Amino acid sequence: MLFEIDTLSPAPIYGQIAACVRRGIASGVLKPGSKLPPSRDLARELDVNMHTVQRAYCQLRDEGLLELRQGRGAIVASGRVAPSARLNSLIHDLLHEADAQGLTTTELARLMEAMR
Amino acid sequence: MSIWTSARRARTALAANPVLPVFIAIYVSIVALSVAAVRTTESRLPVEAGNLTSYWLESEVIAIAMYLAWVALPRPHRMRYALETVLPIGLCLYGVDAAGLTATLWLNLNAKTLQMPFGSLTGIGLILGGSFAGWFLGRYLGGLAAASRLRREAASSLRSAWFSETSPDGSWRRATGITTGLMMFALILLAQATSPAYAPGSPLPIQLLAAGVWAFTIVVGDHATISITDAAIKVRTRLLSNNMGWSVSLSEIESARAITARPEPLRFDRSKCVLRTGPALEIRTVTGGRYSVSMDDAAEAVSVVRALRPGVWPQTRQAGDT
Repeated sequence: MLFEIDTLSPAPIYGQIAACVRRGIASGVLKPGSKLPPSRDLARELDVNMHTVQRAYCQLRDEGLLELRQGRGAIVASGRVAPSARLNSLIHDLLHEADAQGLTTTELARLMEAMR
Repeated sequence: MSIWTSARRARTALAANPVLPVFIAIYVSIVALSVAAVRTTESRLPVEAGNLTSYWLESEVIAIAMYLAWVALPRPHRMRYALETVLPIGLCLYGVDAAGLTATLWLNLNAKTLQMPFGSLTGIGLILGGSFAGWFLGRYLGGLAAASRLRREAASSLRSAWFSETSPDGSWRRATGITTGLMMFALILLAQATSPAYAPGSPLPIQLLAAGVWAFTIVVGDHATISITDAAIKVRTRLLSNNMGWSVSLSEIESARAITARPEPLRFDRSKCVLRTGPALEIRTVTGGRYSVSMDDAAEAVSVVRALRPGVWPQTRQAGDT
Protein backbone atom coordinates (compact mmCIF):
# COMPACT_ATOMS: atom_id res chain seq x y z
CA MET A 1 0.00 0.00 0.00
CA LEU A 2 1.03 3.59 -0.59
CA PHE A 3 1.92 5.83 2.35
CA GLU A 4 1.69 9.55 1.60
CA ILE A 5 2.55 12.45 3.90
CA ASP A 6 2.96 16.19 3.53
CA THR A 7 5.49 17.69 5.92
CA LEU A 8 4.02 21.18 5.36
CA SER A 9 0.49 20.07 6.32
CA PRO A 10 -0.80 21.31 9.71
CA ALA A 11 -1.85 17.72 10.50
CA PRO A 12 0.79 15.86 12.54
CA ILE A 13 2.86 13.37 10.56
CA TYR A 14 1.93 10.43 12.79
CA GLY A 15 -1.71 11.28 12.17
CA GLN A 16 -1.14 11.30 8.42
CA ILE A 17 0.56 7.90 8.56
CA ALA A 18 -2.28 6.51 10.69
CA ALA A 19 -4.81 7.96 8.23
CA CYS A 20 -3.05 6.16 5.34
CA VAL A 21 -3.41 2.84 7.15
CA ARG A 22 -7.07 3.54 8.01
CA ARG A 23 -7.82 4.33 4.38
CA GLY A 24 -5.99 1.17 3.31
CA ILE A 25 -8.10 -0.95 5.68
CA ALA A 26 -11.32 0.81 4.77
CA SER A 27 -10.76 0.39 1.04
CA GLY A 28 -9.78 -3.27 1.39
CA VAL A 29 -6.21 -2.80 0.15
CA LEU A 30 -5.04 -3.94 3.59
CA LYS A 31 -6.75 -7.16 4.55
CA PRO A 32 -6.83 -8.74 8.03
CA GLY A 33 -3.45 -10.39 8.61
CA SER A 34 -1.60 -8.09 6.18
CA LYS A 35 1.83 -7.12 7.42
CA LEU A 36 2.78 -3.44 7.50
CA PRO A 37 6.37 -2.35 6.82
CA PRO A 38 8.63 -2.22 9.89
CA SER A 39 8.59 1.21 11.53
CA ARG A 40 12.33 1.59 10.93
CA ASP A 41 11.96 1.00 7.15
CA LEU A 42 8.91 3.24 6.81
CA ALA A 43 10.63 6.02 8.78
CA ARG A 44 13.72 5.78 6.59
CA GLU A 45 11.77 5.90 3.33
CA LEU A 46 9.55 8.80 4.44
CA ASP A 47 12.55 10.50 6.02
CA VAL A 48 10.83 10.92 9.38
CA ASN A 49 11.74 9.88 12.91
CA MET A 50 11.14 6.22 13.76
CA HIS A 51 9.24 7.21 16.91
CA THR A 52 6.76 9.13 14.71
CA VAL A 53 5.89 5.92 12.86
CA GLN A 54 5.77 3.97 16.11
CA ARG A 55 3.35 6.55 17.54
CA ALA A 56 1.08 6.11 14.50
CA TYR A 57 1.20 2.33 14.86
CA CYS A 58 0.48 2.56 18.59
CA GLN A 59 -2.52 4.81 17.94
CA LEU A 60 -3.88 2.29 15.43
CA ARG A 61 -3.29 -0.52 17.93
CA ASP A 62 -5.26 1.41 20.55
CA GLU A 63 -8.09 1.77 18.02
CA GLY A 64 -8.04 -2.00 17.55
CA LEU A 65 -6.93 -1.81 13.93
CA LEU A 66 -3.43 -3.23 14.35
CA GLU A 67 -1.75 -5.91 16.38
CA LEU A 68 1.83 -5.13 17.39
CA ARG A 69 3.88 -8.19 18.24
CA GLN A 70 7.51 -8.35 19.24
CA GLY A 71 9.55 -9.72 16.35
CA ARG A 72 6.58 -9.91 13.96
CA GLY A 73 5.94 -6.22 13.41
CA ALA A 74 2.57 -4.60 12.78
CA ILE A 75 -0.26 -6.75 11.47
CA VAL A 76 -3.77 -5.68 10.47
CA ALA A 77 -6.22 -6.98 13.07
CA SER A 78 -8.92 -9.54 12.28
CA GLY A 79 -11.95 -8.71 10.12
CA ARG A 80 -14.44 -7.79 12.83
CA VAL A 81 -12.92 -4.30 13.17
CA ALA A 82 -13.44 -3.47 9.48
CA PRO A 83 -16.75 -1.50 9.82
CA SER A 84 -15.36 0.73 12.59
CA ALA A 85 -12.16 1.15 10.58
CA ARG A 86 -14.18 2.49 7.66
CA LEU A 87 -16.04 4.87 9.96
CA ASN A 88 -12.77 5.98 11.59
CA SER A 89 -11.27 6.66 8.20
CA LEU A 90 -14.29 8.75 7.08
CA ILE A 91 -14.28 10.75 10.34
CA HIS A 92 -10.59 11.48 10.03
CA ASP A 93 -11.01 12.59 6.42
CA LEU A 94 -13.94 14.80 7.46
CA LEU A 95 -11.95 16.38 10.30
CA HIS A 96 -9.02 16.94 7.97
CA GLU A 97 -11.26 18.63 5.39
CA ALA A 98 -12.93 20.78 8.08
CA ASP A 99 -9.52 21.78 9.36
CA ALA A 100 -8.45 22.76 5.85
CA GLN A 101 -11.58 24.94 5.50
CA GLY A 102 -11.00 26.61 8.87
CA LEU A 103 -14.02 25.05 10.63
CA THR A 104 -13.74 24.30 14.34
CA THR A 105 -14.97 20.98 15.75
CA THR A 106 -17.97 22.75 17.34
CA GLU A 107 -18.94 24.36 14.03
CA LEU A 108 -18.59 21.01 12.30
CA ALA A 109 -20.77 19.32 14.92
CA ARG A 110 -23.38 22.07 14.51
CA LEU A 111 -23.32 21.55 10.75
CA MET A 112 -23.81 17.81 11.16
CA GLU A 113 -26.62 18.34 13.64
CA ALA A 114 -28.39 20.62 11.18
CA MET A 115 -28.17 17.97 8.46
CA ARG A 116 -29.84 15.24 10.53
CA MET B 1 46.62 20.03 -11.92
CA SER B 2 47.75 22.03 -8.91
CA ILE B 3 47.63 20.71 -5.40
CA TRP B 4 44.97 23.31 -4.55
CA THR B 5 42.73 22.11 -7.38
CA SER B 6 43.13 18.51 -6.18
CA ALA B 7 42.34 19.52 -2.62
CA ARG B 8 39.25 21.44 -3.74
CA ARG B 9 37.99 18.48 -5.79
CA ALA B 10 38.59 16.10 -2.90
CA ARG B 11 36.68 18.42 -0.57
CA THR B 12 33.76 18.59 -3.02
CA ALA B 13 33.69 14.80 -3.37
CA LEU B 14 33.72 14.33 0.41
CA ALA B 15 30.93 16.87 0.85
CA ALA B 16 28.81 15.04 -1.75
CA ASN B 17 29.44 11.69 -0.03
CA PRO B 18 29.42 12.42 3.71
CA VAL B 19 29.62 8.69 4.50
CA LEU B 20 32.89 8.24 2.59
CA PRO B 21 35.08 9.95 5.24
CA VAL B 22 33.54 7.65 7.86
CA PHE B 23 34.49 4.60 5.78
CA ILE B 24 38.02 5.94 5.28
CA ALA B 25 38.39 6.70 9.00
CA ILE B 26 37.26 3.18 9.98
CA TYR B 27 39.51 1.52 7.39
CA VAL B 28 42.59 3.52 8.42
CA SER B 29 41.87 2.99 12.15
CA ILE B 30 41.60 -0.79 11.75
CA VAL B 31 44.86 -1.08 9.80
CA ALA B 32 46.71 1.31 12.13
CA LEU B 33 45.47 -0.46 15.28
CA SER B 34 46.30 -3.90 13.82
CA VAL B 35 49.86 -2.90 12.88
CA ALA B 36 50.36 -1.19 16.25
CA ALA B 37 49.09 -4.25 18.15
CA VAL B 38 51.50 -6.58 16.30
CA ARG B 39 54.47 -4.23 16.77
CA THR B 40 53.74 -3.81 20.49
CA THR B 41 53.58 -7.54 21.18
CA GLU B 42 56.35 -8.55 18.74
CA SER B 43 58.84 -9.62 21.42
CA ARG B 44 56.35 -12.06 22.97
CA LEU B 45 55.33 -13.78 19.73
CA PRO B 46 56.79 -17.05 18.34
CA VAL B 47 56.99 -15.69 14.75
CA GLU B 48 58.16 -12.52 13.07
CA ALA B 49 55.71 -9.66 13.29
CA GLY B 50 55.93 -9.07 9.55
CA ASN B 51 54.57 -12.56 8.80
CA LEU B 52 51.47 -12.02 10.91
CA THR B 53 50.80 -8.55 9.60
CA SER B 54 51.08 -9.59 5.96
CA TYR B 55 48.96 -12.74 6.49
CA TRP B 56 46.05 -11.00 8.22
CA LEU B 57 46.13 -7.72 6.34
CA GLU B 58 46.19 -9.16 2.81
CA SER B 59 42.37 -8.91 2.61
CA GLU B 60 42.63 -5.20 3.29
CA VAL B 61 44.72 -4.87 0.16
CA ILE B 62 42.13 -6.92 -1.76
CA ALA B 63 39.30 -4.72 -0.43
CA ILE B 64 41.05 -1.51 -1.40
CA ALA B 65 41.89 -2.99 -4.83
CA MET B 66 38.22 -3.94 -5.33
CA TYR B 67 37.15 -0.41 -4.51
CA LEU B 68 39.71 1.23 -6.77
CA ALA B 69 38.90 -1.20 -9.60
CA TRP B 70 35.22 -0.29 -9.39
CA VAL B 71 36.02 3.40 -9.34
CA ALA B 72 38.30 2.99 -12.37
CA LEU B 73 35.85 0.94 -14.44
CA PRO B 74 34.18 2.98 -17.21
CA ARG B 75 30.64 2.17 -16.06
CA PRO B 76 27.70 4.42 -15.16
CA HIS B 77 27.27 5.20 -11.45
CA ARG B 78 30.55 3.54 -10.57
CA MET B 79 31.16 5.86 -7.60
CA ARG B 80 27.69 5.12 -6.27
CA TYR B 81 28.21 1.35 -6.41
CA ALA B 82 31.73 1.62 -4.99
CA LEU B 83 30.49 3.61 -1.99
CA GLU B 84 27.20 1.88 -1.32
CA THR B 85 28.15 -1.75 -1.99
CA VAL B 86 31.90 -2.37 -2.45
CA LEU B 87 33.00 -0.51 0.69
CA PRO B 88 30.43 -2.29 2.92
CA ILE B 89 31.67 -5.68 1.68
CA GLY B 90 35.25 -4.54 2.25
CA LEU B 91 34.39 -3.63 5.83
CA CYS B 92 33.20 -7.20 6.39
CA LEU B 93 36.63 -8.46 5.22
CA TYR B 94 38.28 -5.95 7.53
CA GLY B 95 36.19 -7.22 10.44
CA VAL B 96 37.27 -10.82 9.76
CA ASP B 97 40.94 -9.87 9.55
CA ALA B 98 41.01 -7.54 12.53
CA ALA B 99 39.28 -10.18 14.67
CA GLY B 100 41.54 -12.94 13.27
CA LEU B 101 44.64 -10.93 14.09
CA THR B 102 43.34 -10.17 17.59
CA ALA B 103 42.64 -13.86 18.15
CA THR B 104 46.10 -14.85 16.85
CA LEU B 105 47.80 -12.40 19.20
CA TRP B 106 45.61 -13.52 22.10
CA LEU B 107 46.41 -17.20 21.59
CA ASN B 108 50.13 -16.80 20.91
CA LEU B 109 51.37 -14.39 23.56
CA ASN B 110 54.39 -16.08 25.19
CA ALA B 111 53.76 -19.32 23.19
CA LYS B 112 56.64 -21.37 21.71
CA THR B 113 54.93 -22.43 18.50
CA LEU B 114 52.39 -20.48 16.50
CA GLN B 115 48.77 -21.58 16.75
CA MET B 116 46.28 -20.24 14.21
CA PRO B 117 42.87 -19.20 15.61
CA PHE B 118 40.86 -21.61 13.41
CA GLY B 119 41.70 -24.44 15.83
CA SER B 120 40.06 -22.96 18.95
CA LEU B 121 36.54 -21.93 19.83
CA THR B 122 37.78 -18.54 21.09
CA GLY B 123 39.45 -17.87 17.75
CA ILE B 124 36.46 -18.96 15.68
CA GLY B 125 34.13 -16.94 17.90
CA LEU B 126 36.24 -13.82 17.52
CA ILE B 127 36.45 -14.23 13.73
CA LEU B 128 32.71 -14.78 13.36
CA GLY B 129 32.03 -11.83 15.68
CA GLY B 130 34.38 -9.61 13.70
CA SER B 131 32.81 -10.59 10.38
CA PHE B 132 29.28 -9.90 11.60
CA ALA B 133 30.29 -6.61 13.24
CA GLY B 134 31.97 -5.49 10.00
CA TRP B 135 29.01 -6.69 7.94
CA PHE B 136 26.40 -4.87 10.03
CA LEU B 137 28.44 -1.67 10.21
CA GLY B 138 29.17 -1.75 6.47
CA ARG B 139 25.56 -2.43 5.59
CA TYR B 140 24.38 0.38 7.86
CA LEU B 141 26.83 2.89 6.39
CA GLY B 142 26.05 1.78 2.82
CA GLY B 143 22.32 2.24 3.47
CA LEU B 144 22.99 5.64 5.01
CA ALA B 145 24.93 6.73 1.92
CA ALA B 146 22.14 5.58 -0.43
CA ALA B 147 19.38 7.18 1.67
CA SER B 148 21.13 10.55 1.93
CA ARG B 149 21.87 10.62 -1.81
CA LEU B 150 18.32 9.75 -2.85
CA ARG B 151 16.72 12.12 -0.36
CA ARG B 152 19.00 14.88 -1.59
CA GLU B 153 17.84 14.22 -5.15
CA ALA B 154 14.14 14.29 -4.24
CA ALA B 155 13.84 17.08 -1.62
CA SER B 156 10.06 17.72 -1.43
CA SER B 157 7.50 18.22 1.34
CA LEU B 158 5.25 15.58 -0.26
CA ARG B 159 6.61 12.14 0.51
CA SER B 160 5.34 8.76 -0.56
CA ALA B 161 6.41 5.19 0.10
CA TRP B 162 5.11 1.85 -1.18
CA PHE B 163 6.41 -1.49 0.09
CA SER B 164 6.51 -5.08 -1.04
CA GLU B 165 8.44 -8.23 -0.18
CA THR B 166 9.52 -11.27 -2.12
CA SER B 167 11.02 -14.56 -1.00
CA PRO B 168 12.96 -17.11 -3.07
CA ASP B 169 11.55 -20.28 -4.57
CA GLY B 170 13.24 -23.56 -5.57
CA SER B 171 14.60 -22.24 -8.85
CA TRP B 172 16.55 -19.50 -7.04
CA ARG B 173 17.88 -21.98 -4.47
CA ARG B 174 19.16 -24.26 -7.24
CA ALA B 175 20.81 -21.38 -9.13
CA THR B 176 22.33 -19.84 -5.98
CA GLY B 177 23.44 -23.21 -4.63
CA ILE B 178 25.43 -23.92 -7.82
CA THR B 179 26.97 -20.44 -7.88
CA THR B 180 27.83 -20.34 -4.15
CA GLY B 181 29.19 -23.87 -4.17
CA LEU B 182 31.58 -23.17 -7.05
CA MET B 183 32.74 -19.92 -5.46
CA MET B 184 33.37 -21.55 -2.07
CA PHE B 185 35.30 -24.40 -3.72
CA ALA B 186 37.57 -21.90 -5.49
CA LEU B 187 38.06 -19.90 -2.27
CA ILE B 188 39.01 -22.99 -0.27
CA LEU B 189 41.54 -24.04 -2.90
CA LEU B 190 43.00 -20.54 -2.78
CA ALA B 191 43.14 -20.58 1.04
CA GLN B 192 44.93 -23.93 1.01
CA ALA B 193 47.45 -22.73 -1.55
CA THR B 194 48.26 -19.55 0.36
CA SER B 195 48.18 -21.01 3.90
CA PRO B 196 51.46 -20.21 5.71
CA ALA B 197 53.85 -23.15 6.11
CA TYR B 198 54.76 -22.15 9.68
CA ALA B 199 51.18 -22.45 10.95
CA PRO B 200 50.37 -25.90 12.37
CA GLY B 201 47.06 -27.57 11.55
CA SER B 202 44.87 -27.23 8.48
CA PRO B 203 42.01 -24.75 8.49
CA LEU B 204 40.14 -26.84 5.88
CA PRO B 205 37.45 -28.34 8.16
CA ILE B 206 36.64 -24.92 9.56
CA GLN B 207 36.50 -23.44 6.08
CA LEU B 208 34.19 -26.21 4.94
CA LEU B 209 31.95 -25.67 7.97
CA ALA B 210 31.86 -21.91 7.40
CA ALA B 211 31.12 -22.41 3.70
CA GLY B 212 28.33 -24.87 4.54
CA VAL B 213 26.73 -22.55 7.09
CA TRP B 214 26.99 -19.58 4.74
CA ALA B 215 25.54 -21.45 1.76
CA PHE B 216 22.74 -22.94 3.89
CA THR B 217 21.83 -19.53 5.30
CA ILE B 218 21.75 -17.92 1.87
CA VAL B 219 19.78 -20.70 0.27
CA VAL B 220 17.22 -20.94 3.08
CA GLY B 221 16.95 -17.45 4.43
CA ASP B 222 17.35 -14.65 1.91
CA HIS B 223 14.51 -12.40 0.85
CA ALA B 224 14.17 -9.00 -0.77
CA THR B 225 12.35 -5.87 0.37
CA ILE B 226 11.20 -3.50 -2.34
CA SER B 227 10.31 0.10 -1.63
CA ILE B 228 9.11 2.70 -4.10
CA THR B 229 9.22 6.27 -2.85
CA ASP B 230 8.94 9.71 -4.39
CA ALA B 231 12.75 9.63 -4.49
CA ALA B 232 13.67 6.19 -5.78
CA ILE B 233 13.02 2.49 -6.18
CA LYS B 234 15.12 0.51 -3.71
CA VAL B 235 15.65 -3.22 -3.48
CA ARG B 236 17.38 -4.63 -0.42
CA THR B 237 18.34 -8.21 0.29
CA ARG B 238 18.74 -9.43 3.83
CA LEU B 239 21.96 -11.40 3.32
CA LEU B 240 24.89 -11.06 0.92
CA SER B 241 25.53 -7.59 2.33
CA ASN B 242 22.87 -6.28 -0.02
CA ASN B 243 25.02 -7.28 -3.00
CA MET B 244 21.94 -8.21 -5.01
CA GLY B 245 20.14 -5.02 -4.08
CA TRP B 246 19.95 -1.91 -6.21
CA SER B 247 18.49 1.56 -6.11
CA VAL B 248 17.43 3.78 -8.97
CA SER B 249 16.40 7.39 -8.62
CA LEU B 250 12.90 8.12 -10.00
CA SER B 251 14.30 10.93 -12.10
CA GLU B 252 16.45 8.41 -14.00
CA ILE B 253 13.58 6.09 -14.94
CA GLU B 254 12.54 5.98 -18.56
CA SER B 255 10.04 3.11 -18.43
CA ALA B 256 8.63 0.48 -16.11
CA ARG B 257 6.84 -2.75 -16.95
CA ALA B 258 5.84 -6.12 -15.53
CA ILE B 259 7.72 -9.08 -17.03
CA THR B 260 8.23 -12.77 -16.34
CA ALA B 261 11.72 -13.62 -15.08
CA ARG B 262 13.65 -16.74 -14.07
CA PRO B 263 16.80 -17.09 -11.86
CA GLU B 264 19.90 -18.31 -13.68
CA PRO B 265 23.08 -19.76 -12.13
CA LEU B 266 26.45 -18.07 -12.58
CA ARG B 267 24.92 -14.74 -13.53
CA PHE B 268 26.69 -11.99 -11.61
CA ASP B 269 24.43 -9.11 -12.53
CA ARG B 270 23.63 -7.04 -9.48
CA SER B 271 20.92 -5.14 -11.33
CA LYS B 272 18.80 -8.31 -11.52
CA CYS B 273 17.35 -9.39 -8.18
CA VAL B 274 15.41 -12.36 -9.53
CA LEU B 275 14.49 -14.57 -6.58
CA ARG B 276 11.73 -16.64 -8.17
CA THR B 277 10.32 -17.78 -11.48
CA GLY B 278 7.35 -15.55 -12.16
CA PRO B 279 6.30 -11.91 -12.34
CA ALA B 280 8.93 -9.21 -11.92
CA LEU B 281 9.22 -5.46 -12.21
CA GLU B 282 11.63 -4.24 -14.88
CA ILE B 283 12.95 -0.69 -14.94
CA ARG B 284 14.79 0.93 -17.81
CA THR B 285 16.78 4.07 -17.15
CA VAL B 286 17.53 7.00 -19.39
CA THR B 287 21.18 5.92 -19.44
CA GLY B 288 20.24 2.51 -20.88
CA GLY B 289 20.41 0.53 -17.61
CA ARG B 290 17.99 -2.37 -17.02
CA TYR B 291 17.02 -3.36 -13.47
CA SER B 292 14.61 -6.08 -12.39
CA VAL B 293 13.22 -7.55 -9.20
CA SER B 294 10.83 -10.43 -8.59
CA MET B 295 7.50 -9.50 -7.00
CA ASP B 296 4.00 -10.90 -7.11
CA ASP B 297 2.42 -7.44 -7.33
CA ALA B 298 4.59 -6.21 -10.22
CA ALA B 299 1.61 -4.72 -12.07
CA GLU B 300 0.68 -2.64 -9.01
CA ALA B 301 4.31 -1.52 -8.68
CA VAL B 302 4.24 -0.29 -12.28
CA SER B 303 1.15 1.81 -11.55
CA VAL B 304 2.79 3.24 -8.40
CA VAL B 305 5.86 4.25 -10.43
CA ARG B 306 3.59 5.88 -12.98
CA ALA B 307 1.72 7.76 -10.25
CA LEU B 308 4.87 8.99 -8.54
CA ARG B 309 6.68 9.89 -11.72
CA PRO B 310 4.25 11.02 -14.41
CA GLY B 311 5.61 10.40 -17.89
CA VAL B 312 6.90 6.93 -17.12
CA TRP B 313 4.85 4.54 -19.20
CA PRO B 314 4.95 0.77 -19.19
CA GLN B 315 6.33 -0.56 -22.43
CA THR B 316 4.35 -3.06 -24.43
CA ARG B 317 5.58 -6.50 -23.60
CA GLN B 318 7.36 -8.14 -26.50
CA ALA B 319 7.12 -11.79 -27.45
CA GLY B 320 10.02 -13.86 -26.13
CA ASP B 321 10.81 -11.55 -23.21
CA THR B 322 11.77 -13.40 -20.08
